[in-house]
Amino acid sequence: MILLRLAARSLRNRVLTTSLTVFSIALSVFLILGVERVRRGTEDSFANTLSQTDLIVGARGAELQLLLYTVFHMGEATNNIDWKSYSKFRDHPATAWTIPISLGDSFAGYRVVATDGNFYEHYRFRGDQALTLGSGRAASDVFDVVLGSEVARKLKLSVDAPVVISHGMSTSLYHHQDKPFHVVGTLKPTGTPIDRALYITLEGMEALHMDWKNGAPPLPGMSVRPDEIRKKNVIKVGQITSFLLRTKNRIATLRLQREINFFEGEPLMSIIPGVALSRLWDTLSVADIALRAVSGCVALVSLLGMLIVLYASLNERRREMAILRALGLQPARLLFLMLMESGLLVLLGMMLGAGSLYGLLFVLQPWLVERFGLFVPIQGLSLAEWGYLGVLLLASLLLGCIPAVAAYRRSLSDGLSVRV
Amino acid sequence: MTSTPTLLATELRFQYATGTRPRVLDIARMEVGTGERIFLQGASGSGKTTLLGLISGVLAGFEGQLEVLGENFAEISAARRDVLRGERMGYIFQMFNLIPYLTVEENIALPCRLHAHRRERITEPTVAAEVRRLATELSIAPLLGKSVTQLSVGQQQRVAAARALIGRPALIIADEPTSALDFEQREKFIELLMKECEREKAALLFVSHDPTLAKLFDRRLHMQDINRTDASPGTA
Repeated sequence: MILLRLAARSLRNRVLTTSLTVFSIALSVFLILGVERVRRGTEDSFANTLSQTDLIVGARGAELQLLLYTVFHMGEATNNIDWKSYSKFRDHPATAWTIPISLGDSFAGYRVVATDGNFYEHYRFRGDQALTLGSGRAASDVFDVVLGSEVARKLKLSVDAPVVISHGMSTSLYHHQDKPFHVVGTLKPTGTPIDRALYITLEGMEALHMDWKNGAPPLPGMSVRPDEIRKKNVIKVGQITSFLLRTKNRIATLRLQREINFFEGEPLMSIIPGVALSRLWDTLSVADIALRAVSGCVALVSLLGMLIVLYASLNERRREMAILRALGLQPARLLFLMLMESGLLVLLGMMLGAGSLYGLLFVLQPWLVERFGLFVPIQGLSLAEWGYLGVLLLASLLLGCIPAVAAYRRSLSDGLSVRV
Repeated sequence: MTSTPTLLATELRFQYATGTRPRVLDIARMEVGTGERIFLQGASGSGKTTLLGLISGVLAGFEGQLEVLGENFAEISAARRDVLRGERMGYIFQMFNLIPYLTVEENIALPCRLHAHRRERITEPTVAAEVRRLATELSIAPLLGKSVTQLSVGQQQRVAAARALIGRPALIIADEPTSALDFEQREKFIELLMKECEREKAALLFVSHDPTLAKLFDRRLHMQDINRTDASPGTA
C-alpha cells in the first residue's frame, strides 16, 4: 500500500512529465482502439449492408456478380427475370415479402434503382434499421424519384428538382430528356450503398423504355410523351433484374432456395446474403490485414515512446531511488515501485485514450455515417480490444522493467551520496 | 562494552570497481560496541563516506571481514543488507535526502511504513504519536503537515534526524548532520541524539568536521589513523 501511495505521489510530483507520458500513452491507446473500431466498423457496415433478407434472387450466373449489382449497385446483370417468374415466388406460400429491383439506367454516374413500395417498407440494414425519408415522400407516381442521401448532398438536389435519367451507366450516351423525373423525397444517410443511388418506381423504369425498339431509342417524333404515358392507367412491368426475398420462417429458406435454383420456368439463382457478403469480405481481406498491420505498428511505436519517456525521466528519480534504498527498500520492492509507476501511467493513459475515443465517437458518429458512410458503433470494448489493452499493459510492464533495472543499478552506484 | 560489538571490521579493504582508481580503504581493525558513541573525523576524501557506505551495506565488494549488528556482510545478500539497514539502522544524510513530495510527517514516518519491524519498535502507541514525539523534541511539531520543500535548511536537517531516529534503530549513522544548524539547534539536536542513543543503547557513528563536538562522545576516531591507504583527498 505504501508503495502504491509513493508511486502515486511521485507521479503527481512530476506533473509535467507524468502528463506528457499519460498523454502519449492515451494517444496510442486512442489510435489502437480507433483503428480497431474503424476496422470493425468497416466490416460490420459491410456485413450489415443488407439485413433481414433471406435470399437474393437473380438470373443464373455468378453469385458474386448477383450480390454486387443487387446490393452494391456495381456491374451489370447478365440477364433479367421475367415478371411472371418473380410473381410466382412473390406469391409463394413461404414468402413473407419481396422487394423487386430493376437496374439499367443512371444519373450523373449514380445508379437508378427501380423498385416498389416494399422497398421503403421492408428494406433493412444494420440489424433492424429501416429506411427513413429525410424529406418529402416515397416514389409512387411514374415520374417520381427519391434520392439517396449522398446523391442529394453531392449533387445539391432537393424535393421538386428535375432529374433527367441517362440510359445505361455512362453519362455520355443517351439521356431520357423527353421523360424528366421530379424529386419527391430524399432518404436519410444509412452508411450503405443505398445512399449512392436514386429510386424510381418499376413503372417509371418501364415508361422510360416504353418507346424503345430492340434496345434502340425512339426515332425523332416517335417518342411517347409523359402526359400520354400518364393517360395509360396501367403500365405493365415485363422484367426485373433481381429481387430480395424474406421467408415466413427461416427453416423454409433453404427449401425455397433449392426450389428457386431448380426453377424450370427460367434459369434463376438465389443466394443467402450473409454468406455471400462474408465471402466477399474474405476476398477483400487485404484491407483488413492492412488495418491490423497499422494497429500493430501504432502499438509498437507507442510502447517504444513510453519506454523512451520512462527512461528519460529516470534522472529525475535518482535521488529518490537512493533515498529509498538508504531507508532499506529491497531491490525487489524498488523494482515493484518502478513497475507500479509504469502500470499507473499506462492505466491512466488507457482510461484517457479510451474515454477520448468514446467522447469523440459520440460527437462524430453521425458525421462519419453521412460523410464517409462509415458506421462506427458506440459499444463496450470487445474481447479483442480488451486483449489489445491487456497486451499493451503487459508489454508496458515488461518494458518498464528496463528503466526499473536501470534505476536500481544507478541507485547502487549512486550509493548514499547521490548528487543530482 | 558487551562481547558482541555492533560493528567489527577486520582487514577491511575497498577499491571502486572502475579499476583505475586506487584503493580507498584499508582498515586493520575497527570496533564499535553496543551503545558506544563514536566521533569520526577526517579530511575530505579520506574515505569517510565510503566507510559509511560499507557499514550501511549500500556498497559491496570489499575484502576482509565486516560484521554489523551480528551479521557478516561478506556472507549475506544485498537484499538482506537492505532489510538490515531498513529495520535496524538510522541514517542521517549530509544532504538531508528528504523525499520532496511527502510532508514532514510522512518523511519521518517512512521507515516505519516500509518496515514492520521498525514499526513494532516505536515507543508510542501509534506511528503518528511517535512522529509527533520526535518532532516535538526537535521543535518541528508545527511543521508536520507542511511539505519539506517549504522548510529552511535547518528544519530539513531536523526532519532527516527524526526520520533516522524513529523505530529505535540499533545503529545510527550520522554524516555531518549538524553542518546546517545554528548553535541553538545544534545543541538541541545533539541532546536528542544522545538521549535516544542512551535510551535505546544504540551505537552512534557520528561524522563531523566540528572538533568541539568530539568531547560529547565516548571515543574519537581519525580516518588517517585507521585508514592505511595513501589515497589522496578527493579520491573517495
